Amino acid sequence: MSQTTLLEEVSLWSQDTCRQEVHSILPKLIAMHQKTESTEEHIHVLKVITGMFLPHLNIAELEEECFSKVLPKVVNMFDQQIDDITNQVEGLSSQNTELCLFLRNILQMMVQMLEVLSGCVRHVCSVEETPALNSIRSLPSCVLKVLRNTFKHCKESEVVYCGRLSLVGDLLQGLFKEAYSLQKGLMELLDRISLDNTPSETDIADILTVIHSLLDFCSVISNLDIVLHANTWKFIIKQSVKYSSLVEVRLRHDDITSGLCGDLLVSFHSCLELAEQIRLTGLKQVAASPEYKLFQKTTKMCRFFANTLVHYIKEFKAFLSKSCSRFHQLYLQIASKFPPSLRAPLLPTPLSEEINGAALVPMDALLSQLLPLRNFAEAVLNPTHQLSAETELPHCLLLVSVLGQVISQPEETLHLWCDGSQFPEDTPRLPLFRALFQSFRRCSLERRVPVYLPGLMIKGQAQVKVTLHHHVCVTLCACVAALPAQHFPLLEQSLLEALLQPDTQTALLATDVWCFMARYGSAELCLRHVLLIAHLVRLCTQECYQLSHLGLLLRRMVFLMTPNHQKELVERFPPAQWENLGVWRHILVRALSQDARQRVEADIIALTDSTVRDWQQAGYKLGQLDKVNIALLSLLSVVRGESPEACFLLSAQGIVSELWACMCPNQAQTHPIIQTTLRLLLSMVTILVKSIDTQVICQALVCVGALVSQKCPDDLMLAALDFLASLGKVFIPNDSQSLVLPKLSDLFGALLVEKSWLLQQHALEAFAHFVEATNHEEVISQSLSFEETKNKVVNYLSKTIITQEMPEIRLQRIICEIPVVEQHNDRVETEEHAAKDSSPAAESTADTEPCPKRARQETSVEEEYRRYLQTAESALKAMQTLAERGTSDTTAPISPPQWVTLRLQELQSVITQMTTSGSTT
Amino acid sequence: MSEAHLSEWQRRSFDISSGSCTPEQTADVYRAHLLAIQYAWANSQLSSAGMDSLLRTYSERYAAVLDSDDPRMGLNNYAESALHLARSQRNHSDKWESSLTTASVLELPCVRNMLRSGAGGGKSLVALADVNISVGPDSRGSSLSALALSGHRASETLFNPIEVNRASSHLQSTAAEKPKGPGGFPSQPHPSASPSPRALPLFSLHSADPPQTIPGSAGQQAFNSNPSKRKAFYKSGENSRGPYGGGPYGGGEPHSGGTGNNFKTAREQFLVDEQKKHSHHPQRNQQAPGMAAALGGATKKSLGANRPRGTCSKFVSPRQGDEVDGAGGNSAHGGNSAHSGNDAQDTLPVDERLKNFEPKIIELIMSEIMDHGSPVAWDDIAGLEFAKATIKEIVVWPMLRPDIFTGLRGPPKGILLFGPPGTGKTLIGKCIACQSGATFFSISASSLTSKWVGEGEKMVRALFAIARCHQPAVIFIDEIDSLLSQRTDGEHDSSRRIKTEFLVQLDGATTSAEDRVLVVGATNRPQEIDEAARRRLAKRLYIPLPDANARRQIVSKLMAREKSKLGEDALENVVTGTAGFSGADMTGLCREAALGPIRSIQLSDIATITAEQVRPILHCDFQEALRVVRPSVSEKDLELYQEWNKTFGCGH
Repeated sequence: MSQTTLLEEVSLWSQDTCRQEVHSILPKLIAMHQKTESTEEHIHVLKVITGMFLPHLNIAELEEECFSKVLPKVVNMFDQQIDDITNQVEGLSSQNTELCLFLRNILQMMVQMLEVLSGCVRHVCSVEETPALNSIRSLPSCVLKVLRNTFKHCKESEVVYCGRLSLVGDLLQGLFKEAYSLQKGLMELLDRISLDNTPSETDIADILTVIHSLLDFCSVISNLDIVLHANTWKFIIKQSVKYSSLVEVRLRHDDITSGLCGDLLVSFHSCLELAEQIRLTGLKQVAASPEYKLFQKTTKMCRFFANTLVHYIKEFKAFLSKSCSRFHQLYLQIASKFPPSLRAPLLPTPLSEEINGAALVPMDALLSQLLPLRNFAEAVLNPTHQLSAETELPHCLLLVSVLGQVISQPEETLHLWCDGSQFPEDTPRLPLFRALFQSFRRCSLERRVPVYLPGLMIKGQAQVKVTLHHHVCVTLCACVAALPAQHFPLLEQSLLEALLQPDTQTALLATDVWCFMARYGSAELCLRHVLLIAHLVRLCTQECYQLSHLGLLLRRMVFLMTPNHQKELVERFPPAQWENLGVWRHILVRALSQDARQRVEADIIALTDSTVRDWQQAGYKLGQLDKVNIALLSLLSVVRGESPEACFLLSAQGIVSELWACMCPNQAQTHPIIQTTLRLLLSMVTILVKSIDTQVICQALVCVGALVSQKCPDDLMLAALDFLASLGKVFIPNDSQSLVLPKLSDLFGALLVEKSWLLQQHALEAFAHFVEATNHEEVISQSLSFEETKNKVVNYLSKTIITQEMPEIRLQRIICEIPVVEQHNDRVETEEHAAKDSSPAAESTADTEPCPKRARQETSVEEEYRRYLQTAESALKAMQTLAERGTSDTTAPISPPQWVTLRLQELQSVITQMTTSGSTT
Repeated sequence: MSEAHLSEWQRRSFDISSGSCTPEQTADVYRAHLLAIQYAWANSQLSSAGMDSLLRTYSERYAAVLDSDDPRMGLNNYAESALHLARSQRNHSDKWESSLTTASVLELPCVRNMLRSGAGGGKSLVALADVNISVGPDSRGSSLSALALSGHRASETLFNPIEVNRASSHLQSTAAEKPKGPGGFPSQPHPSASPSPRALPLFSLHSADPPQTIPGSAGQQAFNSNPSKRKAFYKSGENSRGPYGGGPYGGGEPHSGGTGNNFKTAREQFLVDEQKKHSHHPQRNQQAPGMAAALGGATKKSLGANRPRGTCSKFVSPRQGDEVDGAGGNSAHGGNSAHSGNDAQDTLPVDERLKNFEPKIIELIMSEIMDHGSPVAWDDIAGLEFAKATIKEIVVWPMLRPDIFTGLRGPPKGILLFGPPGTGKTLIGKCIACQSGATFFSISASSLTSKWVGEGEKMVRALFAIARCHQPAVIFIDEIDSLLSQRTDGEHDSSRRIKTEFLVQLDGATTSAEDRVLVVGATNRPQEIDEAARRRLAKRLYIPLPDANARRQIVSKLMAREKSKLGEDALENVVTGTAGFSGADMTGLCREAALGPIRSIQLSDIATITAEQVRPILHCDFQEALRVVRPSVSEKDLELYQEWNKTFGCGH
């Protein structure tokens, strides 16, 4: 019987005949199928096999009898057809009808093959009992191969058919649709499949192949069809979870998560772009527009990817260690596109809310899943990572939310985040508190603008927007409030560290938290801290930013001490001793309880008094004036306290009056140290102005006048302004009015045109205060002789602001200003390090501390290495450009001489030697 | 450039001086000032010394805002927010120990840097050659000497006390003695002679003008007298403003405003907790038993109206709890470390659940949260001893000690207060919330049904979800009959949905046994309540008309605040004459009687008469009033309540 007749005969058979004959005829058909070369015939046989005889095979026989024999060939044929297309397509054009027909024919056959495969899948699906994997093993793998090629072809179609796509477009579409339904069917089938109780190694490998091939599809189909893309992902995750115990060790977790992350970001960014478009078109009827529909669809995808990612992480936490820094980046990238980030696009509220719900909200869930992972903590707390400017704020906010959550986590997690890396072999990570302070410091732009965040809602009050400082402070305090004792030491250290870095606001944040801690913790703890800070203040002998930060903290903390502890502070740092004056000048005496206060005041006044007297007896020598200044500094804090004890005030007045007698502006001009004295005296006269003698006031005024007319430092100016403002409160006796008042108005006139804006502002404030209180109205008009000054003052008093800056311009200005502050801070900090390195004197004088010689040497060696390497690199680069210029110069090609190559090779061997020896030692 | 800085600075300072800034805004302004100063320094517009002095000035003002516990101008170290966030956590602060010692601190790199930089630049301001120059005007031709100030300013002046101006002569004389020894210091003889007028800020805070009619809770007093109490604020920095005195916040004494904003240290809290554990019963109701039950009728049923915050804004660690009734939330908390773990886990999913709700609805409901700890005490409710005792037993104590009220002792999910109108049902609801330290949501059924047609069930769901976030919580629903009436066929679909949702939330699949959310319903039409709802409101308490004793209490409380002459007999007479009056009726009666003296004034005199001349309220006024005011509850109604009580009630 010839093949054709057999086929014809068979195709006329009835169902029953088929059932009876299946086992006898099938091998023949399969053999025919194997042998045939013609594609048409091949498809014909295939259709007969699958259409007529497949249904009559037992489910257990499918693989053995049919699939394993037929399907590999199908894959081969399919591949061949695609190859045919690629080879022939070059000549395709609308004129070349023959070729066009040929290609269309191939495509049609491809569609038919897919249909046949679909039929197989459907048949297996329709069988009532769930098939075991090993009974259909060839089916999924072959289908997947065919599908991959189909999708690839569809995706590449634009390139392959370049421009002639319209000739085959309908068929390609059909091909895609068929592939689509085939994949759908396959996924349904695989869903139904069950494994035996003891799955074989091959089963597991098969499942992995399925999952991984679908994973590979995802990158291909992501642009083709949204729904298919989503369904494929859904299937991948579902299968991974279903067989998690079997495959979890061998799944390509990193590829899966990075695929999800990538797809999430793509859909997220297209959401943003669509929203931006909608905003730009300014549509009124947003909801009905096609853009909006597309936007909604994309948002949905975005939400899907985000939730899927979270789900996946939840299931396979233990295997995701390598992806953790990817997750961190993902979080930052998404968060940076939302307010309060300054780079966030401005979108209409409903749209941005939708995106928010789709992308940002799942990030919170993501975070809570990742929180216990060591690698995530290491990625986030990495001390060396360099963040781009727009992710600084999201990183800070991430740390804040970690802080908010970590405290309710189990002890292990808390330890992971709070304690930093403890052994040198750990991947280094910062303690959470330190990381937060560092990150806060780096958000200088956002603090300056400032950005606002939603505040906490409590007590049924409406939600308010709060600054970053407020937000961070509250969360930090809340975390502190629940901090277990074993993490406390690191908190302390981080606070101290934050206090001693140059950025003022970060130091302020540290003091805020410290004060909260002091109030929340025991009184003894507060005492201990105060003593410690006082000790540090005493050690710090020179004016520096650290000292002023420490002083700020000390000042605030003393208010929080119990009276008894305040007494103890006085005992431990007796103000009568010279070296403690540095401590007391930072403390406000009104913070002290009554007896402590009296003692401090008495001691300081006594000490100042004796210092001044010694100085006088020694002949008013300039060399000893610094001692007087130090004493005066602490006297100032007594005077500031406005002691209720009249005699203290009287004594202070006496000292001040005496010293004023020695002041002379000419000397002050040449000797800066006298300026310091003058400033202190001015501040004291300012406070004592009501009770001090008019003569002293006149003298001070003359002095200030002389100084202002020449050039004088701004701190002195500020003190002078305070002094002038205070003069509003006193009445100048008639006999000295003619002398004092013109001087006063001259001074105001001069100071109000001060160039520096800060001084100008303070001059305005001082003038306003003077004006409010004074009885000498004539001074006012005389001060404002210039029209410009007058306008300025009038504007200030009526609270008008003349220059209104546009928000965008302001932002630009601030962006320009930020580097100034940051560089300055860095400079101040590195100067310190430089001082550390360059001054051996510092080393020898500071004998109280352990000598860190080794560390220093190491750094210097490192420094040397760096320098030489830099030299080498630049030399090599120069040579490279030389060589390049030589070859590119076509007019006269100069190749480098022979010896150059030789010497370079020599160098290479030296380098190899160095690197190998470096690694072995 | 600098123009922009100046105008920014000015805008900020104008904001402050306008006086309308919240403390948060003030703090933000000072922070912005400090940043501007830092920029000026970095940009060398300001010298380092100038920066230092400005930094000091403004940081002092900042600290005054931040560390002050005065709610109007201080932030109390963000305690309220921070402790709110940490509310379900344990407090370990009593175990904190500083690891920093004077020796170990020197090991820290930051400290080492500081000291190095300090030591590195220790150069003198004075050039070596100038060391011996004498300071003083006579050393060179000075412009000062040209002034006719005071002839003698030679250096010997200083050693001659007589020649120095009179004002400082006192100092001079003692100063001259000074070298003899430290004992010669002038201040020593004086301090006792001039006792300081300065009170400790803490005490001045509380001794200032007495607060509202309802005094703060008793617990506050207990802490005031604690001698080791730390001063909790930076006395408004009026001095720190240096010469300017006044200023927006430098207004001298801090204002009390009746708010006890105390900051308790962990140790103090611990002591208090201990105390509470040993005396487990209400005993510290020092306040006068304020308004009688009648108040219930008169109290505005406002949702989240801006009421004065009683003890609630106290800084108590680790969580807020009202201490009036003994066994406060704190002791409960101290004892239930096992629970805190649960709480911690609860908070996460709950908050996620809220994400499904529209923010508007959440905001609406949140804005209707009433403060926990409104100052209503059990003694404010006259009579009703049985109801009070029952509620304490089944509601308040379980909320305070969830650890021992477990299993069968577990509290009911809902209670129903029923009885004639004007008998104090609302007041009891409030009292429950306040005494159990729970968050109080008061929602009237009408606000759910009318405003939110179609949204009603969403509201209900959101309400319960939020309540679960704020456990323990009491949801008080007044006129619950209108919300949970019998489900009939003809009724509107939306109200039916609300009902169903409500029943599901109250006790359905979504609620867990650990939830500490109590629904208190009040109604005067108990018979109209759906039977399914009746089942869920497991405890049904009859709030009857006030008995004679209670009525006496009401009258005497109300009269105590008026000028009245009501003898014992007359009072008894009034009490017997008012049988069948509700609490609200009693208030009405007293109001009517109080108008009596006014009615007796001639019309012509009303313009001129002084307040003292108005005669006191007499017995006859009451008799007159009794003729006008009639009881609002009829006998028939009463029978109905009693009947229902017999059938479904849980009382006597």
